[in-house]
Amino acid sequence: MDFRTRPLTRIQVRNLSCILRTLFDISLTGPFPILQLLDRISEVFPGSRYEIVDDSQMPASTMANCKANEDGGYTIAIKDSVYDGAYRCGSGACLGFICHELCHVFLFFLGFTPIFERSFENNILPAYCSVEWQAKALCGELMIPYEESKGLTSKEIQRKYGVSKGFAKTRLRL
Amino acid sequence: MSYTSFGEFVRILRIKHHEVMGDMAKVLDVKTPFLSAVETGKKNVPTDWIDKLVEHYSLSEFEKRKLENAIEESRTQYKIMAQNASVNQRRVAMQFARSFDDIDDETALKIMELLKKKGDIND
Repeated sequence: MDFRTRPLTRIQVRNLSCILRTLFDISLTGPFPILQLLDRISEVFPGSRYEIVDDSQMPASTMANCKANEDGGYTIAIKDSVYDGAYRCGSGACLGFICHELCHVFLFFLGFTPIFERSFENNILPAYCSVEWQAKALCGELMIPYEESKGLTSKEIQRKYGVSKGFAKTRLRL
Repeated sequence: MSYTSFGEFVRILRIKHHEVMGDMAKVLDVKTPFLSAVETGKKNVPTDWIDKLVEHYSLSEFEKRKLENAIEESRTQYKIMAQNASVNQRRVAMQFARSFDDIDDETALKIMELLKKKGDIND
């Protein structure tokens, strides 16, 4: 499911990734320590938080989600198996799922919220005004800093930033 | 549901010690969703967690007291031992439990004030 929002270009998304790193007081280069930053979400985004839930509490196709909460912020809910994959195995895919939700929180706080209540099937909306594309693109830029990763191979990107093969390959296409 | 006082306490503890929720779940020997549910007040804090946290994070007496207070403020269930209670005492407890959901914060504060005054007089 996807929603239309205000447009953002790839360059703007890239700049936003630097701002988000700055908000968390972390270096603009190197891997993005998403698991450590989960505990600091409430400091950067007031009223926001995260929780780890049993796999049975989410549909099989959902890895994590992000919903507005009653405190004026957002709650990121992460499936136990996804958190576990990120924590125990450092799985790039699992780290990516979690980071993707943090990107939603950041973008929502900036006002890149759905313009209409109407939802769309995935990959129908033009990328630049799709809530899902924006979060996905921001997640990639956060986890693989563009300038620093120039010239690296897919394997090197995976090893250096702890990301999935899919993420590394997408970075090489940019 | 927002973090409870306990949730807030352990969140800061993890940041201080450069740990994540998975590390703390290991220390407490529980699954991460259980720890998460306790932090958001969906479940009560198990009693044996105090000692485990004090030992692992080498908490001072002051920090231990803060932890105990945070746990007390985060309780989601209270047990009333009624074995030795009179019929009237049991009725009062039941009545209070039934009306608990309807009490707003302001009324709760006023009740606390009245109980405190009564306690002061009896002392």
